[in-house]
Amino acid sequence: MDFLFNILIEPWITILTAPLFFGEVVIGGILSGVMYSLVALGFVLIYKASGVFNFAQGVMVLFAALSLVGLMERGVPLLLAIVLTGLIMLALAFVIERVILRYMVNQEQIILFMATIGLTFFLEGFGEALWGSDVKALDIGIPDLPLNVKGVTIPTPVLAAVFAGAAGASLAILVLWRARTARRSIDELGGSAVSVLPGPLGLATMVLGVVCFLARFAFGPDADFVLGKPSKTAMFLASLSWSGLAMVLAVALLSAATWLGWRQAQRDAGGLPPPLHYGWFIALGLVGTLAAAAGVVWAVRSGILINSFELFAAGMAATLVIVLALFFQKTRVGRALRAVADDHAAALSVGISLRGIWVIVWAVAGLVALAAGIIWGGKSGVQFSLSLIALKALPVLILGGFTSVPGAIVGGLIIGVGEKVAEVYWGPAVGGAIENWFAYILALAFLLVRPQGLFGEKIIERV
Amino acid sequence: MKADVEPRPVASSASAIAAGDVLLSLEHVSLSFGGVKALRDVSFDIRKGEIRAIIGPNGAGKTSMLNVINGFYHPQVGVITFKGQRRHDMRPYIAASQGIARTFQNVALFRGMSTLDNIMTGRTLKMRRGILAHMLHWGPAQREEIKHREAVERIIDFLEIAHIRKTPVGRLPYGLQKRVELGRALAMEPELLLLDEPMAGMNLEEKRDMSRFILTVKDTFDTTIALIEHDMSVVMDLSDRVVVLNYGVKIADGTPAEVQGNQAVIDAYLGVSH
Repeated sequence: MDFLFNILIEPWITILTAPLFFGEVVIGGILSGVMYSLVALGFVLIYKASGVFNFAQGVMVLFAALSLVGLMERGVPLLLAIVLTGLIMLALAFVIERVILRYMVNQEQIILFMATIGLTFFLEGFGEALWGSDVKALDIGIPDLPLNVKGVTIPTPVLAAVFAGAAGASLAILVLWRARTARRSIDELGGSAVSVLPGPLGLATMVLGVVCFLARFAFGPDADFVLGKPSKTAMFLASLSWSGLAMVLAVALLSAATWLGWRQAQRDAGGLPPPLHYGWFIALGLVGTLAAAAGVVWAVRSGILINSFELFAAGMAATLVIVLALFFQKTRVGRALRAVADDHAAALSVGISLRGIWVIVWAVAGLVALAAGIIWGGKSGVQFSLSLIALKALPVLILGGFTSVPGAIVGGLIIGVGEKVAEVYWGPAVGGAIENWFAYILALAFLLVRPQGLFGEKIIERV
Repeated sequence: MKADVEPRPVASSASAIAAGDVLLSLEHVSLSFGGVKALRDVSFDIRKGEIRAIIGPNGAGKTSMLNVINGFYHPQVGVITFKGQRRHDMRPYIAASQGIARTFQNVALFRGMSTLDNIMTGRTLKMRRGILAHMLHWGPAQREEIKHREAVERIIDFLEIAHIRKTPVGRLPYGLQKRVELGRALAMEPELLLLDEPMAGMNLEEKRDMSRFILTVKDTFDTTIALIEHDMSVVMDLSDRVVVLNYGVKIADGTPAEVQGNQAVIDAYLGVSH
């Protein structure tokens, strides 16, 4: 019973009694999550445009960091060194296309994958032969220290409101997303593709929820939550009933979202304009971002410890994502990239050159690797193990979906936050080191429930 | 199979539209995949300004023929001459940049993108401004985008698909997808337009629309068209000259009326007792 209490209830009590500290943990998680996203982004870019899982992405990060440090050791100033390393990564993309990919057109994906494994070994050896294999420190002039403005404290309710706002916005986005996917599947596959009423899994969850909710009352007045000093059993039962309620609500919400999508699909069929515009996502996203930004500002003012280096990393990642989004959506090349990702033959027929696109994609992936190399290298030094952060990107990709840029971001954030929160609150109960395996277990669970990831394209195979 | 009937000499059968110069010609093209011979010593030409139909039973090599013209397949033997330039084989990029556009038998659109974006990809080769300029959407890049957007809007109006401008094409019904695909090819302002079964799976009304579009394209856009089609009445109405393939061999070539009366063609379609 004690163990169950420590796992199921104790953490929630700690969270509720010290929300400020919880905020600190969450923000720390978001910031380190952004760093995972950065690595995952490189994978997504190449996978989207060429269907190749680039095993060498991790080593590209290492190679970029090694080149940067190597140049700086030879007396090149930081900014110039970054520009030069960028040029090196561009040259690398060009050489990779010239020497490897050119001969791989129309080959099986597994062959391309094997080629990237070969590239991994080559780059690793080449980088170390060029710049030496000893552990180096990368100093980019931003201290890895907490940022703290003392003197102002904020009332807990305000902080709670900010976090509730952020959480509400994300929840609304999820609901809208669900509605949109439902609508799309109905439009594409017909009305029977999506059922508004919960399926067997949903029904089971609901029944379980109701049982949990009622369990509390089965134990009579003794188990009631009495103000003062409730017994552990009482607290356990209370949380059980609350989570039961949450389960029922979640299923109901899912059904409501599906119904929303279904209604839209009906309107589509009738030629009516959809009541839900895509702009709502953007608006809600903005609200969420604003709430989160306000949260960070308030948090800093109130004396929460935020690591300035991680804040810099997050800012850099955000900039990178905006630039990439503009690149993909607004440019002729971005349009060509999306075209190649959708259909090779059609892309060729309108005169898009696959080779040119591959150079561009690998160059962009190289630059993303450089950004990740700067941040991870600055955080934990430049050494061989840097290439292993690719392993942390894998669960992020499984969570977010291999083909989605927003997926890489959201996946990274979920894993970053989940890891930190689990470590701090649940770590003591199970003896710590949750951070090491949490991401992989979460990914495993996702593979079972939603193999295409949160934002990935559903794989439909006609048999 | 009676494939030994002499193909008609091209020059005599094309007397009606001989005014047009030869735009593209294939000489003695043979294409095989391993042991399968998709095309065997096929020669024919397409004249400027005509609608040239390629017909034949299933597996006759019609789509392979388009793929050779467009550079997806590289024939082992033969010469391709386009606009006076002789080549052993085509490359997709060269074909596209020299003015050959095509549509596909199974619609090959960019499913995740809107109708507008799909058609805009047809302008890829015509846009020249740098990446950075486009990203920031400034001056010349913006003007370029607007110029091409106007051209695309004209095509959208012409094909009567203005109402689905912003819809992701994956959601459109089949007939409209075919139309968007035609729009993408037209956006390239091609000299030679290859249509692979533009009316497959369409109902009568859609076929009528598509025929109207094809004829208008030929007349007003001054485009030469080569099309593969199974609907014989469409072929007979639309095309100026017809080439018939069977098991990778050309068995007839001439005006619709000539081809219709050709015994080898009738045998290929209906079968003969041996």
